[in-house]
Amino acid sequence: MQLLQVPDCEHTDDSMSLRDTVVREVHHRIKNHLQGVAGLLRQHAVEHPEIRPIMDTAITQIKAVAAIHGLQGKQAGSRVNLCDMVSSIASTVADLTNAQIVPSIMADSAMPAQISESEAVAIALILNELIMNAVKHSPITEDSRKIIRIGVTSARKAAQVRIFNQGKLPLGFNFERSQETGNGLSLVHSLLPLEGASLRIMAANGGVETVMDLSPPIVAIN
Amino acid sequence: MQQNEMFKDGTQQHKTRVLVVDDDRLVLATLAKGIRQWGYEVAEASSGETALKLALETNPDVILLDVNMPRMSGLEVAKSLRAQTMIPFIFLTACGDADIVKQATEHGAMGYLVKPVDIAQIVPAIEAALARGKEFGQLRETETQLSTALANSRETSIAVGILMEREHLDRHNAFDVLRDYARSQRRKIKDVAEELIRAIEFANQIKPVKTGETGNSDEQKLSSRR
Repeated sequence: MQLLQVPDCEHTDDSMSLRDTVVREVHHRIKNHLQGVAGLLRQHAVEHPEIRPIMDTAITQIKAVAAIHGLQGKQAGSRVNLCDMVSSIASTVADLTNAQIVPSIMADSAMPAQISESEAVAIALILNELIMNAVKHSPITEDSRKIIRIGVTSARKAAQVRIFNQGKLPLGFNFERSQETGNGLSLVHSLLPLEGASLRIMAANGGVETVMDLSPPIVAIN
Repeated sequence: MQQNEMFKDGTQQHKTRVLVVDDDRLVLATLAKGIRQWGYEVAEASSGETALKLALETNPDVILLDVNMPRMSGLEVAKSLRAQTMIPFIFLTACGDADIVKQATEHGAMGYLVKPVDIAQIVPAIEAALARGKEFGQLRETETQLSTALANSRETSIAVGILMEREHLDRHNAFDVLRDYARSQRRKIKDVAEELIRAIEFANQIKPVKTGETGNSDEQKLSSRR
């Protein structure tokens, strides 16, 4: 998302530094506003428990976008570290749904995958939908919690996110055809970039595993 | 939800097919979903190139086209569309300044919507664009028919004039002669008229050759040098 056009100044170090500061500040403020909106929706959800599932969906979506602005507000440049993105979204979903989400991150510490500025919101919303979907279709364990495992492998030019839950896929499920049936994955279909991202959802290890592979141009190299 | 109405004979009415084009996939996804909820059939394209390809392949009823896109802008897509198809389109713009409105009009847009757009604004815009597109289609068809009729009429008139001159007839009798001949030959009056005009044109090209223009020109040149 292009936020604003900060006027180009003389290309001195000072002006570039000022520009970065302004951009980071704008990201920071947008994050705060979005969190404020999410807070208002949360109040409605508490007051009207009958609409809570719908509100929770909207809240996690807003918070996923807020997380991107939060991360973009922390560092120079507007690319987003994939590991930070996954951790932030997983944490939001866990707080809201009381699910136990166990992230396992293996990243090249020197050069972890960075998601390009223009694709960060779309990827965040896709991850949010997939994690929410995993929680929704996961059975409740003995301690009354749902358990979701997330694995992230992140390197400079490629990354993979695996989301596992102990649910079951519907008979004859096919992700490619799921858009036609109009189920909850339609947003994922629409947001999934044509280049540099692929998604598979399959039965594995007694549950359901969703695997998203990312590569350039979604993973920013330069 | 009038798009899903059943016809009286029990067959289902054809759903209006809308192609939505926007490089911001979040905007694209929400627009597409909102329009689908109103009963339209929606295809999505996140770039100008994909939009053009899809439009030519699937021939949608109407296109919602974002103006500001990288590589191939909405205006460029519109230009190609107008050259190749008659699909009506509506521009989606981030700002509604006079220049954008002027450009949208020049590129043949049926309308433009300033983002962010609510689905309640889009549906009437789609219906208006469809209605105007249909009117334009009918107008173009009428124009083609009139042009053809005019061309036919011109050739017939010329042929009648030739017959009037050659056969010393008045215009009604000359036309009757042309029509009767065409009927006897089981041909259209226009075709007979065209043939007559071509024959006269050919005859007019044949002119008497002037003395001195015949013979070997090289020989003439040589003799003049001597």
